[in-house]
Amino acid sequence: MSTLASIARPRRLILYAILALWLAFPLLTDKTYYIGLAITLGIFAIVAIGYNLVAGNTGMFSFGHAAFMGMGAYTSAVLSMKLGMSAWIALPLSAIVAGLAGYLVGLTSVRLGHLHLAMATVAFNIIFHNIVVNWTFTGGEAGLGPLSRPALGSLVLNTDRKYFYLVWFLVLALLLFTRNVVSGRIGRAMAAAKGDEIAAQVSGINVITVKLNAFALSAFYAGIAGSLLGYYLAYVGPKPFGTDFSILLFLMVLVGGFGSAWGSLFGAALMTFLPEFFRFLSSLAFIPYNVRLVFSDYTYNLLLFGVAMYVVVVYLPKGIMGISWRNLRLGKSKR
Amino acid sequence: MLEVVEVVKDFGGLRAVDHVSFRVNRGEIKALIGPNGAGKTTLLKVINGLLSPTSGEIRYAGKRISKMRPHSRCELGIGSVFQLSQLFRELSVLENAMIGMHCHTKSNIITSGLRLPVCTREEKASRDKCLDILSIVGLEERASVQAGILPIGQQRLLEIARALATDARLLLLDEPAAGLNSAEKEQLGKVILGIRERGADVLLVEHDMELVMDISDSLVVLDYGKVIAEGPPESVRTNKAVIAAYLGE
Repeated sequence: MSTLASIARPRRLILYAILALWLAFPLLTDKTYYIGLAITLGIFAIVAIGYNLVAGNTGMFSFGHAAFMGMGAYTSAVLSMKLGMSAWIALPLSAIVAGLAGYLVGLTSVRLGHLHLAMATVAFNIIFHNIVVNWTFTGGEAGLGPLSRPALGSLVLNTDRKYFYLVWFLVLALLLFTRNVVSGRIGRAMAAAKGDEIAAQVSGINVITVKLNAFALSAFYAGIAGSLLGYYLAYVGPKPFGTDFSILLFLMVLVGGFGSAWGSLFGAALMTFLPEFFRFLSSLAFIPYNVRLVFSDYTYNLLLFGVAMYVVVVYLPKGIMGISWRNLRLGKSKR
Repeated sequence: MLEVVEVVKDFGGLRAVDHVSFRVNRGEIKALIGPNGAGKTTLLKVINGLLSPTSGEIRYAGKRISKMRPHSRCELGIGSVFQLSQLFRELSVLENAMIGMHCHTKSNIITSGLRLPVCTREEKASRDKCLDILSIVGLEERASVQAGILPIGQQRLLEIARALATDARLLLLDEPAAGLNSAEKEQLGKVILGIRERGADVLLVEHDMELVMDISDSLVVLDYGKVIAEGPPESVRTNKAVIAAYLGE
């Protein structure tokens, strides 16, 4: 599987150039729609990178991570609204709460095989969703709000542009952090736990501890993402935190390539931009009307989405990062 | 160093290991032999913790370890290499070896994630130690090769390297020569002798009699879960009960 380091120099420079452009674009445009999209992408990327740690690196396919995102969001909302806490304190606190929840859920699930772990985590997601929808403390269906944007003294993150930089600073910081964890002792332990539990045990690795920590860490990331979403929308509600998002998360990481943090970012990008791409296609005048209908109608959209996912699963099982970029003739390879 | 005391292992109605007792002394290479199905692999698994005994004790360096989990026994110094390949195929040779360093290193999520100096120092030390170990088994040239593509002889050596990286003082080897050609077996023999040089004891389950006779200090023979002979190679080889067990009555 490719990692960033294995992509040859010229292509890596292209990647960095794209990154620089990406970071500069909010300064070059006033279209808040696109900046907003980029913010959403950043938030999804954070939770996807965390989810990749537990699913891709450690091999535990949880389908309940939307709930951890929700835990972060609701905790932030409660801390900020009911206790008047500043976002800068509420956000890390919520992430820790989410991480703890991840650990606790892990306690129930890590000894289970793939299928049962999936079932247990779905169950947790449903339980979480039901609680927040029916509890007055969390505002029921209507949710909690309004949440004010984070402020540092007089600097309030009240424009999308400013919020973009907060989110993407976190995305990049977490990417680096993840990369460091994965390439070191803990990452190796996760890979061992995924590859062959018994061999890992007799080699001195406490597999249960490794798995629990992976769960907690991924939930922590989800908590950050959830809080960021809450402060962005100035509102926290139950809708984004159901099992459908958990499944979408799985697809993001699948498309990007299990085990690759950058891949999860690309996967999140694909899933966020695909509906936009369809919308764009439906507006092109030279495409026959009937075909355009397919792209603009929501039901057809879902169908197309499903087809696209199927194609990825069948033809690109290792995701985008699994493509042997070295074999693409774009410049001399390092190896 | 290792004391197996009256170990019994039943699987339902089947008694796989029947009151087996023996010791592996410091610096000894002991071979556990016997016909197929005699309970040798089961016994190894009881020693390394993958199975718990129905009754009996395992003592290592004087400590009773029967209640300890496999990873804790590894921390104490018991390393295992099994018959069916247990390599992490997707990882490189060096990464496989470095997994053995886990129980004696302490970088955690925070120190690794933030790339603190204490972590990078530990990582470098681990790397160096593992490259050293790889050169003992002759694999240092292939450090960055993906483990899954190695030929079986080298895979076996890599598994031994990984066990050595855990600072094992007792190495449990389950049929390490299985599937190896004669050149690879010779190399294996040398490596095992080298392990003893470095101060570890070895308990070796093996069917290849030539290898066994060549390198073992003493033998324990199992048949239907019971010890039927024990002693230096020469005396066991001529033991009537042993011959009968292998050839059938």
